[in-house]
Amino acid sequence: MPTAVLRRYTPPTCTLEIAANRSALSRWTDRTVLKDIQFQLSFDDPKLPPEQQITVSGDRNQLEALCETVQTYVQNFLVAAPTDLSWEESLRQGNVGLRSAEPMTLSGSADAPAPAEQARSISLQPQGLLSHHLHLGSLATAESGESVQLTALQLFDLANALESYQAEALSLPISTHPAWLSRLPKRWPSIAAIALLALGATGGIAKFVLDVANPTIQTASAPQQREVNSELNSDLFPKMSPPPVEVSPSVSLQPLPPPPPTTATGNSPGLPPVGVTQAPPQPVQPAQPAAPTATLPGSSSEGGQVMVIPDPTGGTAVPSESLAGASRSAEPPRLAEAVPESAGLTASNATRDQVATNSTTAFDAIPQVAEVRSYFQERWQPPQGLSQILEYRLLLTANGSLQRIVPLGQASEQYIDRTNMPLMGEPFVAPTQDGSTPQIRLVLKPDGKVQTFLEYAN
Amino acid sequence: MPSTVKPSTDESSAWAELPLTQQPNPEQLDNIKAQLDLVLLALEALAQISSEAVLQAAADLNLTHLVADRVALWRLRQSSPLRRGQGRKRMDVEEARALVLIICHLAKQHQELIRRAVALLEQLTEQQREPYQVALLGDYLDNFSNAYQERMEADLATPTDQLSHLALKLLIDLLFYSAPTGNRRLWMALLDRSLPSSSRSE
Repeated sequence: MPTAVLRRYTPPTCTLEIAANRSALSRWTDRTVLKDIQFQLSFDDPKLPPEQQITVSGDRNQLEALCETVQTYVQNFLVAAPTDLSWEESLRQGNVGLRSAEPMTLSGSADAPAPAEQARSISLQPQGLLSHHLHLGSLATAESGESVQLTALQLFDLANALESYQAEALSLPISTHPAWLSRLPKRWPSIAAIALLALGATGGIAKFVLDVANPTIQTASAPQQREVNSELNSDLFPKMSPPPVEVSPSVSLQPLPPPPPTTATGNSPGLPPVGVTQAPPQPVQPAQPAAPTATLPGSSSEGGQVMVIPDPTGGTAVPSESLAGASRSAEPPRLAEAVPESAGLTASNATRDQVATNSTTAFDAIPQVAEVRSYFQERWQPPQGLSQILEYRLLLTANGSLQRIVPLGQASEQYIDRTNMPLMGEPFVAPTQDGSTPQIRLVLKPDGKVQTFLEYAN
Repeated sequence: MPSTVKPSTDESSAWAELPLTQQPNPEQLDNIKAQLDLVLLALEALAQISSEAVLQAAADLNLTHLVADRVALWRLRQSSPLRRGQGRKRMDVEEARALVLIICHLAKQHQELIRRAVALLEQLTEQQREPYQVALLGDYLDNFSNAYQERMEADLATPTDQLSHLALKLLIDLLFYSAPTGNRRLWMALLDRSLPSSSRSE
């Protein structure tokens, strides 16, 4: 199991541990980018006898499948009418052991799988109001058995742990391609440029950077995160045995041991240390910093595409690369701006001219609203099979570039890299007349239509 | 001029969790109103949450422009089609969203209580005992039934065990709404439940 990075979520009735390796891409950012994510999930409700406390583990795909399944199931459960679920059934069957329940209409897997496939897929079925049958699918082991019975509280805690992971973790989409990584030494400039463009285009870095610098953004989780932050500087080694039951049901993060002594801390201002990542510098890649420190973001954010963790030493020492040189600033927001410049993607004046002549609507209180719409209207190509409407909140800078992208809703997060978002810091509409930073809602429809609305003129 | 790292206000970031791509039609909105009223009813029955508490939550969340005072709150509750008076009062989508945020805020505040109630329910179920046997749950069910029968249209007279079933389902739902992602869960559930069943997402 890779040990470079660990996260731990410990609601009262289960424990979710995540481990991952530090990706070579970390050198191009002042954050740690992760790959090879592995997880371990323990159903360790203290009410259960030790022999009934089951642990399963798997890779990122299985974790994503589990997240998806549980989330969908919970949502379906909430939507179900009380008459769909029999409370009396729970009364009769109680909560003991496993049983073959009649599958009801609330199965949590994406499609109804064929029986042969059902063995492999992770799914959930209700047994009355209070009991839920989690089929472990490919996660099942001889020890765990084919499925696990969950009470409402256990399901709740599991869902919360998985959602906390999702909120924090942005997984690197190209993490499954080790081949090019091994060629990295020779092709650093072009590959890194492409990777950073991809990362920039997803808005992952900038969004994450800003969220880290502003732990109060997500109000719902902020109080929990703040209370966690105070613990995180202490020197705790993650325990592998079930954690003590917490009085408060909030999930918490437990940090790793601190990294070896660092030369410069060079903390980015305002980045709350939340956790620590550590691995000895990988011998394959030269010019590794002497002792990289990394901190995990203090706030949760809507999920995104890239798993990044801030590295307060301000990036790595790769002096010969102008790309890295530009990005070594300790100021997170500048990173995003530095990228497109170094990569040669300067503001396109041509683009701005194109958008200037498009028609306007009654909602175009400022010209940028129409310009944003035109920009996307030209580029939006709904992916095959997309049926949902995607919505984003775009915060612009005064010079007409993107400062921040907030995807609204899961589909929006999922498809963000298909939206042709302009790079952060790269002007794509006209600068605002009065130096304001407007906030614009962008709606991309599966039929190809694009709408924009002004939310705040700021 | 805001700096690049200016956080959005609590309200707008919370709003971000409640996307709405299409205005619900009047039937859907009716359904949503009914659901919101019932969830609030459950909260009242369990935690004795008063109008003051609801209005305080609105103030804490900067939502007083949408839920200003007792009269406004009363109007919003009365808009449920299940109520006596058949929901002659109105509620618009923004007010619905505000209620979602308020409900989840209150649920979060009372998470310990909700969790305890669900734990007791699970325990009793395991022991094959009726929930009435424990005071917390017995009171909850009584409060819920009484309030329901008092406030809802008479010809919606629902047998007690059905009401209990509804109350228990709402109790478990409240548990899920008390989580950090509660806002989104409640909002999506409202929207999904209001759709005609053929177009519901599974």
